[in-house]
Amino acid sequence: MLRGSLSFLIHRQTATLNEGAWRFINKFYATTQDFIKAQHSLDADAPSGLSDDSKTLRALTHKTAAQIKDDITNFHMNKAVARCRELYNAITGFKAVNDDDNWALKEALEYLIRVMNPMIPHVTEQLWQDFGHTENLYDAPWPLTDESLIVEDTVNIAIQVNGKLRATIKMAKDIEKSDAEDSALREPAVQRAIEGKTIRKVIVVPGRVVNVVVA
Amino acid sequence: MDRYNIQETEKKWQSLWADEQAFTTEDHVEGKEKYYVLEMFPYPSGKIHVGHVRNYTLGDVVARFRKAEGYNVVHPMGWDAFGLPAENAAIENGRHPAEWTYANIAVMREQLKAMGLSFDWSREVATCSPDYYRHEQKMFLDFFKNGLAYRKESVVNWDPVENTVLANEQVVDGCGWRSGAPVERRTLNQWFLKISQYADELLEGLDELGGWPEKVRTMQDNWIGKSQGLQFKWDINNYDEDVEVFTTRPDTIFGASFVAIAPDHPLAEKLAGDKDGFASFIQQCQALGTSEAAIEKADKLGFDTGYAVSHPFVEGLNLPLYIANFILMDYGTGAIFGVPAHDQRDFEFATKYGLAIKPVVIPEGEDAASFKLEDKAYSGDGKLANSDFLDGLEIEVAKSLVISKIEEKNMGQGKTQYRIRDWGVSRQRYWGCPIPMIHCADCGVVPVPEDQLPVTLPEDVSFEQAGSPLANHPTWKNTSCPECGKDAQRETDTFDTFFESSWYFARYCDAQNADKGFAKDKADYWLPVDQYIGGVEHAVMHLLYARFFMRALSACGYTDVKEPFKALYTQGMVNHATYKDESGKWVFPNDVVKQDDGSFKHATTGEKITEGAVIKMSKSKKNVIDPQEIMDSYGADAARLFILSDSPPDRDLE
Repeated sequence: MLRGSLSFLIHRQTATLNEGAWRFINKFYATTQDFIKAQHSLDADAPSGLSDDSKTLRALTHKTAAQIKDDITNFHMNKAVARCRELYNAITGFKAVNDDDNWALKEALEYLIRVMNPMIPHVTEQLWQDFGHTENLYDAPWPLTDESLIVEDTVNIAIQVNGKLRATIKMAKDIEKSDAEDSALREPAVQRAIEGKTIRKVIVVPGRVVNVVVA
Repeated sequence: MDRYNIQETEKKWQSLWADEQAFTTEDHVEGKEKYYVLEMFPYPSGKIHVGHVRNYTLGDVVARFRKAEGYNVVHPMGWDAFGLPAENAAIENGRHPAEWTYANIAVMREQLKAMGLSFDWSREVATCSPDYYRHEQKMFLDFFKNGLAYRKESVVNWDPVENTVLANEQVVDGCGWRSGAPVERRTLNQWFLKISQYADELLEGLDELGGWPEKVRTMQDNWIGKSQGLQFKWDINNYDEDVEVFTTRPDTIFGASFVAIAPDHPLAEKLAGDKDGFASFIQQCQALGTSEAAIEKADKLGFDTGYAVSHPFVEGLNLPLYIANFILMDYGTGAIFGVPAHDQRDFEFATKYGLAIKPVVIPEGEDAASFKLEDKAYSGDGKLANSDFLDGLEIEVAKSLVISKIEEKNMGQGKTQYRIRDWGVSRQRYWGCPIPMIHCADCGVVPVPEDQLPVTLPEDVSFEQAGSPLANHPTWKNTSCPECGKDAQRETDTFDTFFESSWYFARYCDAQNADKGFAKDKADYWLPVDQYIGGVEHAVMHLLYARFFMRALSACGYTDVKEPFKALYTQGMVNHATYKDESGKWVFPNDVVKQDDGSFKHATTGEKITEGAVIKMSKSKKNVIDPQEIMDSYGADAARLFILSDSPPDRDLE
């Protein structure tokens, strides 16, 4: 498969191609084929008592499907690819101990195949067919996101002005620093405390504190 | 476990999609909203290049995604097949442009299919086919009927060795790019489309294009270049005529230190024709060609006519009247008054010829008495000073006041000016769409009757002689006048290839219609394009022409759609590292090997290679990568995934 002359190619693009895209496709193929060959007999419906790990995997699966819609709409294709790799890594890192776990794993694999179809149509059509589906992906709808599965991970954040507690806000655990800053500055109690003063800087300790330093 | 067999699997699915007509789209599907995805169509140069791969991969992700979302998606592909490269190939390789073009299309179609792109090939068009261009000939006749197309003399770049008109891009340092001969400015009768009639509409329409990048909208705004100004006459001392100038800065009138006219202004010859050095000065000006960019960049050159003009507001103040190389006859009146303190070109001119540089607009915070210019003009905001009745006023107020005073004195009037010129569509080329007009000695210019369309290109053509191959053809242009029946001659010019790309997206809506370009209901259903993807280099030509063309078609009853592209995605260029050998010659990345110590050497000769800057992929710098090689080795999916994972496509890709 590898042509002789290509072993002399050194420029960054093809080197990256070799390490990145090519290996990913092969690994994705191999991982999925391994799962299919294990021939787990699974129900169509979701099992009732899923483990915490399975729940976490399902949440990532469904969140990925939703976020990639936005990514493609906004032409952030590299973000979409990064999310796919994240889901793939979660899949390979997942240790299934029973068929309930395998159910979650199968869902993750099938979702990944479907969301990657617009990007890598050939291998994904093949894997979908290998899973036993009769309808081809080019005719299939985008996988649905079950909102109830996406756990909102929130934390109470202390909002301080010059080190003194002024408010407490519930924020998403993985909120962007700039968003945390904005939420803090919008708080009425914070606005009262900084009125007439100049903001020198805003310190954000993720998941814990936002401290507005004024003078 | 079986290794993934890329070649076999990819071929299998491409065949299945083709057999099942997976991406063939019906018009008006019940219960589904339409979605039109389009990438700018390629010129069939022979092989797809990496810019194509990125463009089409992006579009394919959008098309497949929207299909999965439940839209009725149309994702068409075709070929922008007329143009100069085919004629050059004919001259260089002795292959007929049509044969060369269709051969390239065949190769590239296979390359695109091998990428697994979800195109509806049933809508494929090639603009060089009479089945395509017959319809644009009809459109041109409709434009002519409706006063949107006309014929006029205009100044062109003339190559005296090749005996042909050159586009501005083909003039390098004032010489023909192939012949090397100094280019002359000549006047020629050409066909024009009245894009200027739509200037305001095109400008206002930009406000509705929220789905376009701001950068592109700004470029179009500037290209249309609407400005409010003043047109008025200066009295020439000791001479019967006046010189009429146009200015967008009437507020700076008191800073004027000279008046300048274009080299081809009628007064130029009259005032200075008999002076020493005039002829050679004019020749130097003509050598710059007609490209605005070239003229702008060139050193400022002036010729003193020896005459002077009287200032309209300062009694006894006379200013010298120059001919200057940077004044364009077809902008404004072809004459200006120079204010060196506040216009950079005037500044350079005044510096060279020792003319006064008088600031009259003082920026905020500065004092009129102490304000000094450094080494360039100040064109920013401020208040008027050293300007009599204008002192202390804001620029806009000063402008209005000067305009009304000039109007009171009956010396001129306020005027709206546009930078955009009517679109000249005549080309003296063979490999283009023939313009369907006939020249009769008695009846003048007569349109070809609609039932005689298409006017097709002759197959036998020679490129041996210099000049237009169609004009040189012994018999092709001979015909009879549709009106009086006498012997007459066909128009031998062909259309600018932007003519084809101004409506191809509408043709895709009804690609197999033999009777007309497209049925109105099909165009009204599919258009506008919901997502257009292409390079930013088309911001002002193709993208503006297409917006105008749709409005013109709408005016002629073809469609109700005026804006062709709802959302636009423009990409950066594909960059790559460059490599040079010891003699300084560019080397292909394929021929370079990296050593363990990080240095580079030539794969076959072993000589030392230096890695240079990462710049735009270009054939002349040899830093191109052939996507076919990548696809042959790694397959289409890997190539696609790589392109998508590299960086946001609105930045340059490395």
